[in-house]
Amino acid sequence: MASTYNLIASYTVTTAVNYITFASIPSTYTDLVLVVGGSNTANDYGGFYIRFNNTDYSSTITGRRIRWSGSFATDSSKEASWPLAQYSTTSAKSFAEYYIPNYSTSSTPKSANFIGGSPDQSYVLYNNVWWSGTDAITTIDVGIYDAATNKFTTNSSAYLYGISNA
Amino acid sequence: MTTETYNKVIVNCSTGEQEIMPLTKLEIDQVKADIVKADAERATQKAEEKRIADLKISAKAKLIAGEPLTEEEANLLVI
Repeated sequence: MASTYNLIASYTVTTAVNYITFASIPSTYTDLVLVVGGSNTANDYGGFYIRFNNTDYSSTITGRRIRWSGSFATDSSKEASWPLAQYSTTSAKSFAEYYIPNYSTSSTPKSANFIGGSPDQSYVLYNNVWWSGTDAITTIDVGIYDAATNKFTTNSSAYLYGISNA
Repeated sequence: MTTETYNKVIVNCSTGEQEIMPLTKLEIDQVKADIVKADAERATQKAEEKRIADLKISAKAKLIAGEPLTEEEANLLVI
């Protein structure tokens, strides 16, 4: 069971950037939690992605996308091929939280549980992601994948927490 | 005409230092490729959403008229 969240680092975008890199992540925790609140300039498509150790490990995504109208779900579909969150305006950011267990161990594939969504697009997503890479995670890139400029706009933010599970 | 700039911010978790740096040519090429790919996926997504919406309209009209549904239309209505 998770104990205390310790803030390792955070960043709030002041100049649009293509991605935010958390480097030299200490190995002193057992799990990581990455919280992202962000927006981009694409009008109707896009999402966050994360990458470990500057390497595009192959990945497998399973999960669901739920789209709602009013107060009830009206549609759902498998989310395997989708980006992890949707565009939103600067006033209604998309959000995402990744739980990354056992990030500092080596020789085991890395994974993350993800929940996120977009108020503008009326989506909530929840996914599990598995990466082929087995190295300890020391660097995480957080990026935006879209059909415009692939940039986080001003006031987007990312927070990286460490958790020690005794 | 403006020139698009490509950059990233590196947050050093050990020192707390934050530095905005330009992307390498390799990274820029990847960003550009991602944009093209995303645009194609977006077009596919939009087409599929419209196809599903049209199917629902068709299914509703057939139900009201008492006409048989196609299997795909029926699948939209049955979970």
